[in-house]
Amino acid sequence: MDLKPIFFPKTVAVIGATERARSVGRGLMENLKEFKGKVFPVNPNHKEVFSQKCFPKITDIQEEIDLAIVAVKAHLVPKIIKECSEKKVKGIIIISSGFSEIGEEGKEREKEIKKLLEKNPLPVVGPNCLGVISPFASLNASFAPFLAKKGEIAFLSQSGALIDAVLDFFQKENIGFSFIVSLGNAAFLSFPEFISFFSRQKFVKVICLYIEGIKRGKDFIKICQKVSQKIPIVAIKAGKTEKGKKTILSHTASLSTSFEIFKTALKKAGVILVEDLKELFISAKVLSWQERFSKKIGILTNGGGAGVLAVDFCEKEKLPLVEIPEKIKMKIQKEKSFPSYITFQNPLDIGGDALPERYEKGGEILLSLKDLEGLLVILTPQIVTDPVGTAKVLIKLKKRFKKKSMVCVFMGKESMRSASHLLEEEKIPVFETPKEGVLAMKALFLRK
Amino acid sequence: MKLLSFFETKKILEKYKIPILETYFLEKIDDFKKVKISPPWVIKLSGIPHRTEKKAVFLKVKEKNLKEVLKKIFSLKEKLKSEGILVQRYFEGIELFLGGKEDKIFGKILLFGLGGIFVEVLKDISYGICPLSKKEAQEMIKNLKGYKILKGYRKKEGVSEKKLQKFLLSFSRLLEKEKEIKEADLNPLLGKGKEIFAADFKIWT
Repeated sequence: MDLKPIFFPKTVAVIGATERARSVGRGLMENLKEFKGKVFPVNPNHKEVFSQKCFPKITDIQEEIDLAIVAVKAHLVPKIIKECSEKKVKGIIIISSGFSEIGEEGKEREKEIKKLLEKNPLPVVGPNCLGVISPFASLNASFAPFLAKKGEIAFLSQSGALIDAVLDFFQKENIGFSFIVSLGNAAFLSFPEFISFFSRQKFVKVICLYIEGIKRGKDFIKICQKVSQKIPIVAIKAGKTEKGKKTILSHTASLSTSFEIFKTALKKAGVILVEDLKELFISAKVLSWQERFSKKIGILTNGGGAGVLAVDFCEKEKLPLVEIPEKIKMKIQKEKSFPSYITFQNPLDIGGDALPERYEKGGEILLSLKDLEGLLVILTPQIVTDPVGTAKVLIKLKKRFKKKSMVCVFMGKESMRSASHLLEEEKIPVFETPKEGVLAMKALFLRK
Repeated sequence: MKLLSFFETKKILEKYKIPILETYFLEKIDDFKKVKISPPWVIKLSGIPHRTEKKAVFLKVKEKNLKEVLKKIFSLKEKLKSEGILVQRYFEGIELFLGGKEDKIFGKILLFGLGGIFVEVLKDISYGICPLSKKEAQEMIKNLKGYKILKGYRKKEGVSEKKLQKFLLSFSRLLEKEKEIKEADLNPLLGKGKEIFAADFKIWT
């Protein structure tokens, strides 16, 4: 099934369009203002919506309609779907709730729609969802209160409200999206179909999933196994505990299975499972900016303690640290380009008095190691520290060693702001604690 | 779910080359003449759940107490309406378990671990999803908290990882291919060096 009409439509009909304050129909119309294509409001109760002609039925529209967004009361939805099918729309988003999530009556409604679509199948998102956002098409076909920036992350969520939170968070972090989909009940299109579609879009660098339950587990594993070899997939799973599971059943109508089995399934599928939202943000950010690798990690620091903390976390996550070969150690000692109190090992602690030059030299040594593919640079604010100068040499180094990945931990808030900004402009992610930096490395690390 | 008979189960396990401990099936006391295993034996009821609690398993039976054990177990057979009596070689090895069942989301799954307190108290279980890859079988073994015990500790001989891996893969194939199987249980599975046998086996369809 072709999902393109959902994400790149030329014409959109909003069924249930209205100006009524605080309504979904109004939210949709407002969010669609940025859309470059044509929007057609549909609602038999209005002649005009936002000074645009409003059509009683979708079949009354002369032009072809690519995407129909349905936001009417649940009991009206089957009739609307029938009309959409008559109109030969190419894709449908059902925002309305009142389906399998409410029980038997709603389940019947879903079945009725499935039956209606049997003859000419259409891609359908939802029901009971927030909608879809496609920044590259300037399309906000949702009632989310924020617009997403263009970027590399594709985000699939079984919770609509979570999308709002994620959008707000990333907005501040200057990170963009290629697609955002609220799955709702996922009665028609679900994880496998979207993941497969995203994997074929050139501007997707990472796929993020918020999972409550999966229905077609075998399909999910099969598609993810294939896609995760070229595009990383990061997932967060809700409902790990029995109590959490019970809450899910009343949330979206999905089945849940034991978390242990779920974990095994995600591993088999090649999906990176993260613990919490913070880790999801970290992983999404680093994966959309840096390359994945399977060799070793080096740590460069001006603080011993911070370096040790990073090593501890690397151990915990079973991330391999690079060894500096004796031959190279001897060579560096001969050159005398470092003070005598610096020991050459990984983590490479270049001293609290390290200025940008020493970061450059140390970084160069580590990045030149054949076995190293990921460099974690830690900067603590000490009396002589020059964050902006250090950021500049790191940017230079990253450009020299294009194929190697770099993650920074600049420990501090105000003192590090300008430096962090410089680095992130160049897509070198900056985090605040060694743990966050290591979690970023974990996301990049491809286990073989 | 329906529990398969001893012979039906044995046939399926043999089809997938899953080694079981040499076992004789007796319907009447006289059948013991057919048994060609030297003592000590394990004598137990076939196809009855919670056999230990029902005192329906006799370990390390020797010539001198054979008669008494046979009498006891055949009277239990009548009482509990079991299909028959199983006589096995007594084999001492590390106790493991391997189970399979149908998950409503992911299809056939495997559960594996060390027996006794490891599974009952520590819940040390490795999971796998069919079809299992070689690497996944390896990880199921290595990820056990009791992995070191499996490798052999103190003077106790460990179990060959390679053989165990093969065992898991055969079991995964069985679960995957035999669609009508809902649940399967090899418990205990006894391992010593390169020898691994299913001592008890149940399959439900």
